[in-house]
Amino acid sequence: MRRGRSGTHRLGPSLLWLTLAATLVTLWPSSAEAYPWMIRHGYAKCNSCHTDPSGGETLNSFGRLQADQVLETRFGDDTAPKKRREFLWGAFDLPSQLQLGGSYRIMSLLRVENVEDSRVFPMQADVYGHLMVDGFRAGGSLGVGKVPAGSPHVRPAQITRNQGDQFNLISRNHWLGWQFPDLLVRAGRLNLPFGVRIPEHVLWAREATRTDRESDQQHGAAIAFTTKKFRGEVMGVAGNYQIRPDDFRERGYSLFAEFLPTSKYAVGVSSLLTTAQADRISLSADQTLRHSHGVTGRLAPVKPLVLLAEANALLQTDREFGYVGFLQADVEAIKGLHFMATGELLDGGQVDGTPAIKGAGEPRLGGWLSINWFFFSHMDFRVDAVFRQLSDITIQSQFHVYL
Amino acid sequence: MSTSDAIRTAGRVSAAIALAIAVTVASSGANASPTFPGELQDVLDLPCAPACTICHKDLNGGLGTLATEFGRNMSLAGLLPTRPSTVAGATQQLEDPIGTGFVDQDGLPLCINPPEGATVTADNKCDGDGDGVGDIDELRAAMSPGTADDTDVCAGPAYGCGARIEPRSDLDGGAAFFALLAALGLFARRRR
Repeated sequence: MRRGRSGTHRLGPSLLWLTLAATLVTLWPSSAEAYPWMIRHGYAKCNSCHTDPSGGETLNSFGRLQADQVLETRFGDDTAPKKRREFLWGAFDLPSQLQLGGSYRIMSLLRVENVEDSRVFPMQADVYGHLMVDGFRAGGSLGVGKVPAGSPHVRPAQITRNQGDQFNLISRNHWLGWQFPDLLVRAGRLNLPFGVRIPEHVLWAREATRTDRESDQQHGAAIAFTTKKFRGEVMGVAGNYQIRPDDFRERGYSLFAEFLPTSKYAVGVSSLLTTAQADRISLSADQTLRHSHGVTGRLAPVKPLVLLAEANALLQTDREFGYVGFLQADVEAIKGLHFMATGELLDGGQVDGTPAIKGAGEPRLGGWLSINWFFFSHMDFRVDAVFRQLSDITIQSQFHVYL
Repeated sequence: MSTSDAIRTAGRVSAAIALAIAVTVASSGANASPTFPGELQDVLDLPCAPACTICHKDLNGGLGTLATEFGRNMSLAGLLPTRPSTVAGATQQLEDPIGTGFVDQDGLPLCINPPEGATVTADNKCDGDGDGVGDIDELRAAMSPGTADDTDVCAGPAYGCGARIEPRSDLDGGAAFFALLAALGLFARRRR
């Protein structure tokens, strides 16, 4: 190894091996985005690190600093180059008004009882950005997605119009806004403010309320506020204009508010009510009123442990009363290495005219055991063992790179 | 770190990511399995992949969520959860239960007796919704075999707001292999 280039010279091969190792492990057997367990570090307010006031996607410069300092495992190197935390590992400088980012995520899904049906697929390939000039703000994402025909995922975020299993250009969010002191007013396609903004988009609490960040965003206008003890967002939902015809567009409101008595504890409430002429998921041609109301909690009683909880009531036309919730314990054993246990419960309500089944008229239980390792700058690897009643046991492995 | 070092580092990082992507794409083709709607479309040469709701209560599908007699009939005829390859055999049984041996000890089609009392057509084809048209004939006409009101199985929401990209074949293993070679070449060049 030659003098003068040793820092970067070492970096290349080790980076390659780390990347290869993670990729191969992924192939053999779900970002720095919206990690509610960052409350363990006293970061209870999402806008400390994200350009979205409710968390997710683009990091601001402080978020990149924290990702570098508290998120990742360090291998005896506490003096990582400052540039490394920047967009594309500091390949080039960006003006201070512009933040760029991106996420690439590949997943393997192994069905323990049916190994031959296991799959490997790219789960996310997005770039995103945020511009702030004085009070004016603009943000958005652009990516590609490919899912089978009929999938409830990715489709609602499509820009291009392939309805089969071809690649599509997608935009999960895009918005324009104005920043006031403690207030952000914006309009566009936005993440719905509801519940705990966790990265596990297929968790029942996100699926049943249709509030995940994968593709459940809607067009509308929102006001977000952040004060010392409170934060929240209220959104008027105008419908998803990347779905047609208009009958399938849901209109109503979604809101979330959280009280933070200390930097380590937070309790919140969520509420959502929408109506549509037809339902996108059940394909019912009848007018569908859907609403969810619930509570959330985040607490870090001791630094290695964070507890996240959410419970929601579910009400929908043509269904009995239902409910959904989860409890997750996250233990950061060593810096960057997380062990998680999650329990979830779902009864979406018995559908009129059909027998009660687990998850629709009867309670259905699920559990996740997860390991998430932020093993290198801008990279993490995650394995989840998912146990759900009425489902095969699955091992989900994912490798994630954020730019 | 100087600007040139940063550029070199970014180059190597890019090469490593390209390599990971190439390896992933190369293997995904080998491991990907078609889904039930896609398999039904292929087997019956349908104009679209029918919605999951011809069998399930909603688009999320999943075990224990069968909501139509057609879905139950397919299950009875040998369709196995998470095994799209069993679609072809099950459709043959529903189309010709007597000819394929999908019968009970009295020689009657097994699809007559699911819990909700499904029936057969005059020519002994399984007819889950009891509208007088066989399930598979209905599907071939793009009508839902799950409901008697002749719902179009290709109806439903359409997605996207802009240009439509013409269908093209997926990346095959060869293309992925060359992508992998290109990534390796890029990396090797960066190392020099």
